Amino acid sequence: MDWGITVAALLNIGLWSFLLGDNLLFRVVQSLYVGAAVAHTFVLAYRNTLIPNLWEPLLGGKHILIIPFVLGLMLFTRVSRKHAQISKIPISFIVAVGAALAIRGSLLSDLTQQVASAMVPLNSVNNIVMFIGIICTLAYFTFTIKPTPAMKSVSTLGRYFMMAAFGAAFGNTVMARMSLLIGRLQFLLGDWLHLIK
Amino acid sequence: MTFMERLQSIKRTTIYGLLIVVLSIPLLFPISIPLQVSSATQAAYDAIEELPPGSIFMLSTDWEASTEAESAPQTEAIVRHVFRNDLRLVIVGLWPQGNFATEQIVEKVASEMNKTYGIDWVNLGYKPGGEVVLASLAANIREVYTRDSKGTPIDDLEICEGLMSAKDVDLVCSVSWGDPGHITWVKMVQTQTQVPVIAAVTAVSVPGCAPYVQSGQLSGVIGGLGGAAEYEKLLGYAGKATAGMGAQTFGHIFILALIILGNIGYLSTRKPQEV
Amino acid sequence: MNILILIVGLVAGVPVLLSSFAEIPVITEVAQEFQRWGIILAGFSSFLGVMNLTHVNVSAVRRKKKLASTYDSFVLLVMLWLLIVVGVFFGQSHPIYDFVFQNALKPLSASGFAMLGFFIATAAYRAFRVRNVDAAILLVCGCIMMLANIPIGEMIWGGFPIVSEWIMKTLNGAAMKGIVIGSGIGAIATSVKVLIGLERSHLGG
Repeated sequence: MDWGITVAALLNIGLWSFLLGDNLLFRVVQSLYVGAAVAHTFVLAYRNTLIPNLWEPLLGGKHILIIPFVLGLMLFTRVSRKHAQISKIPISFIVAVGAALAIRGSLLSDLTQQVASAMVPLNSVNNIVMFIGIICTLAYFTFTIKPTPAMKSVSTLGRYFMMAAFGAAFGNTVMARMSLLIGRLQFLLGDWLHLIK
Repeated sequence: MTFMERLQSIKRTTIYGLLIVVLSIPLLFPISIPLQVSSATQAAYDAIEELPPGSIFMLSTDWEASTEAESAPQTEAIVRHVFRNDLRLVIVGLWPQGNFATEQIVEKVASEMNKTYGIDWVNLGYKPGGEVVLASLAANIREVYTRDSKGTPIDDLEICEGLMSAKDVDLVCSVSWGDPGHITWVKMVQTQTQVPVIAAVTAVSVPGCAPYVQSGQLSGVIGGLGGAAEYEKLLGYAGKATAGMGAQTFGHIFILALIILGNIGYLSTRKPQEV
Repeated sequence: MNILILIVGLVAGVPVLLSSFAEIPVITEVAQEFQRWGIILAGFSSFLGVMNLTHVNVSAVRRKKKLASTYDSFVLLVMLWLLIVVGVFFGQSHPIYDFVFQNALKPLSASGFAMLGFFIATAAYRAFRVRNVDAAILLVCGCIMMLANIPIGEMIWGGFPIVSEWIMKTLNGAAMKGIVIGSGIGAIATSVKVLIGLERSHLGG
């Protein structure tokens, strides 16, 4: 008997006990998961990032890394009510770098490339429908112009295009959720109970 | 209570029980379902197939164990294809659990296909930071990854010869469940370096890929368990994804039945709107 | 202090932004160094998560005083620190770490998400109603996608895959492209506001 698989199966069932209502077993299993997930992220961040990217180069002579080390330590002041303000400095650093990269990514990818590829030649029904759809969808999100009757119609058409997109998303979401459930049933019925050939 | 009102008040536990039964039957009594390969999956397959042996293929493990049922079969199929075509597999990751799980999948496939760690494949590991990691990787991989996941210096790995930045990669595949993931690769790497990117995503993310496929920023998409089953068909084997398609079929029919049932009950009991 | 925070943000963000548009060696080198620091700081932030979780659950155990009424907090703390100690000192290939990952973390992660399958079934039954034109379009497109995603859909009507591909590429493609362009503009506007200090919600004020 593979004890590991039995433990996994029992934990699975314990988590699913929530379907019958909140209970102690579910809360304990949930806590087990949260503890393990946070620990795993921490261990990987420590071994894969802090040691090779900070500690080793710092000890090897790259002294400028003192700065991110100090910034990282400043993050811990967040737990102190008196000194929590200090933690805003490294947070500001991280968010600013992320914001600058977000501008780069959005400008070069979402704006430039997407707008360029939206300029489809209007030589087929599909291309005409697509072009109209893009314009109408963008019109829906224009809230700064007072809506005229023509604008309202365009905006409504944009909403219909989005409903079609959300319908497509819904259909795929059903597929995704069913797949996840099927995966678990394959494990329970196959790997644990050996009922699947 | 009228019949129509009863139709609207089936208990949720009954629905849960029926769902388990409906999905279990085709798993216990397998049925053969014919599969058609979609153009998006074919494009992803062709992108890998066209690479000459020795090309560097970067697999980014951008998923967590939550989506293992979809991401694991996709990963296994892609890795089998990469090893079959003698490509160099370099694994990186933006999410912690997926990278660990992927290494175990690759170890299993590598031992079946006689592929050696350090020569045919390597796992450089997970790095936190999402877009910051990819922006750095696009410029200089060796500043981000100084060692692999086992602690071996990257300079000592034969497979990493000539791999200095993302520009040296021939194809990137992001097995992704959300953000950071395939879109981050498109924005931070593909746009900067023109390295082709394919995505193996959960079915939820497939509609969101459409604009990037249309613009050419994504060269192919493998979508969900169905996409993994199509890929298995292209490779000529029937794995866990193919085995799940029968249950997938039954599940979709069950959901459709519930929607129809719920709407019949709703429309027949709805009070006419006052004028 | 506020001015210092703003200056740090500007000093960090501006070189990274400039390096995207100009090939100036000094600026590019500084930007790449700042990005590497960003990765290190992201690693430090996982420490914060551990500290916060420990603090909250130790307080919960202390407050209740009786162990019997704090099983969940106690279990969380034991699992958290057991895995951290084993992982940090012995590595991920240690049998205990491997066992916990394979037989607890991975299955629980998958099981939690799999529960959504049950919820989507009850949502399909109780919530997806054809109340108006919008809902009707959504449901019709959704049902066509669901039928096209399964091989049996083509057996029922050969047109399902063709119609679903048209919905996905044309209708969905158009709407998603509009959404991507719109959200791209929004992301740029918000990011500029963050860099110049107008947006400070991430700092708690």
